[in-house]
Amino acid sequence: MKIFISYKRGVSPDEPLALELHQQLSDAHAVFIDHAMAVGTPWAERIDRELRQADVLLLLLSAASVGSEMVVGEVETAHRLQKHQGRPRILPVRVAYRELLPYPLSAYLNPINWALWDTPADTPRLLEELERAMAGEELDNAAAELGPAAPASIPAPATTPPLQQIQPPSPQASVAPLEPAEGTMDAESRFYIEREGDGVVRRALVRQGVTITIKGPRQMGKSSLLMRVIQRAQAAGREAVYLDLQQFDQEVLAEAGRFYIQFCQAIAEQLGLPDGTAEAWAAGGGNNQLATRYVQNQVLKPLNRPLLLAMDEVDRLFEAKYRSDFFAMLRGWHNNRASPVPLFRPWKQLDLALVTATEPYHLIANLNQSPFNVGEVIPLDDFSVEQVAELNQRHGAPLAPGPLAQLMALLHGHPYLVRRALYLVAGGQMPVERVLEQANSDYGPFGDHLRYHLFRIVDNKALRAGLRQVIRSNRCDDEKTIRLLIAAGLARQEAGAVLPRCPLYASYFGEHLDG
Amino acid sequence: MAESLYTTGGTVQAQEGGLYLVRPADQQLLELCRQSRFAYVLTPRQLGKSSLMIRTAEELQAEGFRAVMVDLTQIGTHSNAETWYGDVLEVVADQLELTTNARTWWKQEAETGLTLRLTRFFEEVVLAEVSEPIVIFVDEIDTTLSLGFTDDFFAAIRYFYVARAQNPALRRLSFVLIGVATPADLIRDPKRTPFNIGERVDLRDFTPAEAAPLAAGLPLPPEQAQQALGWILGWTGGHPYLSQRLCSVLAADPPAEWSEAAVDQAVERTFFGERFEKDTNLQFVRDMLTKRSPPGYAADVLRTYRAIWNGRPRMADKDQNLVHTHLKLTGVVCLEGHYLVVRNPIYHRVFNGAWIENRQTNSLHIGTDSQGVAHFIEQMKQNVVEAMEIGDSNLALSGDLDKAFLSFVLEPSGYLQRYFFSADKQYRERISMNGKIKRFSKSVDFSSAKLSASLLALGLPLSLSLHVPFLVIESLENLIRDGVIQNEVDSTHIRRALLKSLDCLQSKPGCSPGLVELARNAYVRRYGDPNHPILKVIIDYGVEMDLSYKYITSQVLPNALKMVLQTHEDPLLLFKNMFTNSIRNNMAQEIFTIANSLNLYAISYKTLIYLVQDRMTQIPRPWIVSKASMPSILRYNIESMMLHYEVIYDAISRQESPSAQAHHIQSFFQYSSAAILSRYGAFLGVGPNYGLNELNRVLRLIHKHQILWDYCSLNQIESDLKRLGSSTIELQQVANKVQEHLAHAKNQTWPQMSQFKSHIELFRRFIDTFMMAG
Repeated sequence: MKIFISYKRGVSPDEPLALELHQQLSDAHAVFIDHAMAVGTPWAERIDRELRQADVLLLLLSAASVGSEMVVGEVETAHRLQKHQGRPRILPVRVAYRELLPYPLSAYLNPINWALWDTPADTPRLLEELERAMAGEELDNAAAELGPAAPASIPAPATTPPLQQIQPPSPQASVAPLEPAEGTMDAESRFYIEREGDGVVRRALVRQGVTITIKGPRQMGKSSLLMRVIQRAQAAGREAVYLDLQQFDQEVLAEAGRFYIQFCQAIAEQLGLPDGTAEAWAAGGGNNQLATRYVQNQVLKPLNRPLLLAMDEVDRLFEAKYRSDFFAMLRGWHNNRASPVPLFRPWKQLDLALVTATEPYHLIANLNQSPFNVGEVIPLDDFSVEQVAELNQRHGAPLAPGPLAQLMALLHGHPYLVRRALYLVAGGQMPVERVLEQANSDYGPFGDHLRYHLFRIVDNKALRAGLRQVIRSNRCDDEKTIRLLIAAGLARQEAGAVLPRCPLYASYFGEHLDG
Repeated sequence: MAESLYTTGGTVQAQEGGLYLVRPADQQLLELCRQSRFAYVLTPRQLGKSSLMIRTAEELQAEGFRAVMVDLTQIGTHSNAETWYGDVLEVVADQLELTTNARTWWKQEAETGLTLRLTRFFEEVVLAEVSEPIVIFVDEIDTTLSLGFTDDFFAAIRYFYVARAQNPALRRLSFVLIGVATPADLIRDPKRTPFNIGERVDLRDFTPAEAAPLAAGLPLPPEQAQQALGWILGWTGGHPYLSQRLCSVLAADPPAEWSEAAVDQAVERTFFGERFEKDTNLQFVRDMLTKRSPPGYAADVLRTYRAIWNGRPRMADKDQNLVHTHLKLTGVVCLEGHYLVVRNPIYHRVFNGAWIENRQTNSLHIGTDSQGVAHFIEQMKQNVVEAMEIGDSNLALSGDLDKAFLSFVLEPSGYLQRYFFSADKQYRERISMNGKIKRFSKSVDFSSAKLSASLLALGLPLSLSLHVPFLVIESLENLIRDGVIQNEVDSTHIRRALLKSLDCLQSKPGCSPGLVELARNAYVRRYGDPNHPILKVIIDYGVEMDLSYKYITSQVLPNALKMVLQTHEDPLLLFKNMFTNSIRNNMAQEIFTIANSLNLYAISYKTLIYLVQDRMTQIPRPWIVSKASMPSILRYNIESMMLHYEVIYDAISRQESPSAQAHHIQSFFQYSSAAILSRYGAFLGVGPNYGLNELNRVLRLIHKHQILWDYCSLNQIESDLKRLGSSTIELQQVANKVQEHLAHAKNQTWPQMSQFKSHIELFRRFIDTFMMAG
């Protein structure tokens, strides 16, 4: 049996436990652990290869590892491989960790049984449990024990208590507990920097029947803003449905019939409405017409309350043949609100919020059928110098103007990386000199993030070549590659040139993509 | 709520506070509907069509009519005729709240043809159940352009009008068609089109009086707000979308001090520069002017628009002119009396002379090859890439490769070759990526044969003529590495396919004995292993091949040369290498002759240059000189020079590395025919008019692309001008123009003069050697 152990490096008890498991399991199995790879090994390829060959992904979940992008990357890959080749099977081990899993790990792992380890005394029992599991049994702790098993439900932040008044930043901010930079931010986090888009959202949601598009590359804060949209809508007494298209399987997305049905089912399910898709589709008709009638007659009418439909990562539909139709349908829903025909009255109750990492004109060629240019369009960009300074303030100003400027120059205001740096420095985990000095090291302050991105593009030749070209000559010959690089948040366009998103990326990927 | 007053996308949502402005069209359409007459509103985007529809429908309902609004984009385009019509009828039935289930009815009557069934539904169901007059608005009718079956739909609508005489109940039913299209786009057959029975309703820009309510949203006292609105309308000309957008920008972010300049700044911020890319309306206009121009008319659209933009003389509108109709539909031009004018100052500024020029340059690049080829490649690329991405490899791929292969054989072109190799690369990537060779094995047997055949058909001419069989070998090697060719069966396939491909080339009897040896040598040189399986395939191929040397030189070589020239990054270098080979003496003359007969003067010209430079050649100098002074060669230089200007300008505007720029500029001057002609034209036996015209062209370009100034010597040009003289009136005119340009250029500074001089010096030396040889 081939085992791949995924864990967070340099953290205790994760690392000692991982090494212990490695040693114990190696007698009977071929175990891979990302620990002692020689310098210069093309590790991203190696990890990709090992994961493909593995029968089992042994996943150590701890407070430290659930925030690791690399862990998310490995789980995503394992999940995808499982769909295609039936393995690896994921065996989650919670390492003294009983919290709800953050999104999107929750979506992958909540339906799966897991094992628990609290102290080294548990190790022998854990090994036994794992051996049993590898022989075909289930792990001991039932899937439903922590967290719901719903595949595409609203992620944790939206379930927090109703919105409270956000405090303006004050000197006391420095004593507030720090927050790590990973994932979607809590809607009322004091480290949330309000940008132009927040104001737009606030003003828009005063009205009823609005369409909001949030666009920007990966890790720009889109989902965090979407969470705030949801929270505001809920605070205003509206129902909210959150659909992350990332959670729809590739097979479903490829087939219009299945996608439209699941789309309607997901909406009904989250609102606790009965699933009437079977009868609706049995009557026959085009998917747009069926879905429109379904939402009108079986969602909006019975609900009879304002509803916000929030869709994350709509660019997942990019490969779908029917995407123009689908987006045209959403545009139609927007238009329906204005219709004087009595039948369309329920549509006045519907708000739409769409999040995309791809420029909308790639998603629907005909701008006039596009839902992305009506209502409010909120482009999210990297933080400006002022916003980074503001964030520094809120962390208790751990950075002097000099290093702050250096950091800004290195990261180009990348929201996640800037927050990560401030979190490390403000928490005393790393002095700023070391952050800057080891910035592009595999195991430095941003190592996890950089490794994750490298891992994600390692099996895509075109993207690798494209990024190389971008770094070397600030251009890229292939339109599609440009689109993907920008959506992945690895590159940006400025005055006709295609640039690496930030100098840190240029130096890291410049080094790791060669040869 | 200041922001919600203005609508900058989608329909005006009046009940939510959106501002609706009334125009004459409102009254006109309402009146037509009241009389149950047919109408259509076909206008550019964002002039308020859908808002007009909603407004009219509201009014009609208040007066006791039943209004139905069918948005065809909501019906979607991915369905068949049955479903599409079923959807449309269901929408109608739902909105009229009919008791009959439209879907069931539609299915039950499935035996009736589409048009008849459609008309029967309205006659037997709709008019039977509804007693009030009904107006059916069909919005976004241009959606039907992408469907193949909607002629019936329009025919049915026409029938409702024509049949009123027989069925008076039909007088209660009328249609309003709305969209962005010309009637001719939608249906061509005048006997079936509903557009010649309906009344056309035109939507015009707001007049200042109509637009006056917009001032209410500006955070200013009424009087000042009207003044500010005047400034706004000065830019937008009352365009509904542009006016509202500008108002909303100014309302959301009011200037500290309101002035005309402040409004100008807001316009600048909102519409010009990079913002242009982000504005939906401007994007629409841009696409309509370029990508979405009627097939085959792209250049005409730009040319005509340019003439309208220049405005002198004014262009009279011709109703039947396809380009005029299209331009009106883009919205970028409108009618002023009988003349076409640019709609407003914003469009005039965004889509200006420089913009048009840029577009025209781009289309020139594509236009160097026949348009058909470019179009075909685009199509192919889409098909194959899409097919491969979707994973539908089996069918699509083999078919498309077949097509690519055939087209390649029929029409050798650099574009195709490049395309083909990229398709091949993707194909291989896909195979190795998925590791699913087995799954595809069925199609692999089939397509690998074709693939190999195509590769060889591509590679072979090159290998024969240029003695570089690497292309062939590499292709085969890749195929073997990727497991496409795994066994004997496959190599049999290849052989068979090769023969077939040779059939396509209409091969003649007589074998090329040199090929096998050539391939073997090249291979051994490269891989050092005389017994590699690839070699066997090549040798087999060579034996089976029935190509005569004569055939190759007469049929294959020209194509190969053409390909090399068009595809190779540095054809000069390649040719240089070629001439140091043993074939130098006999091949060079042959190449020159063939290239010349094919009008490939670039090749023949460069061949000559290398012959001049090559001291080892045994070709007699007088031969070279006599060839060099052929008028065709001289003419070529004029054309090639134009090409170089474009390349240089392109390179510079793309901000390539300085070394790349220098390279381009150097080659530019090396082959500048103006230089040749102005200095040596008389010597070579051509009149001065060539040179003078060339000079004028050079200067015009220099004038236009300021960047070239750095590399020009004004004194040189002036003396050239003197030397050429001016014997006729025509020449005198050209010379005057040159003088004008010169006067302008003289005011500039020339920081890189020394660099230029060294280029010219190089060039002179070269020309002198050339002449001395004679």
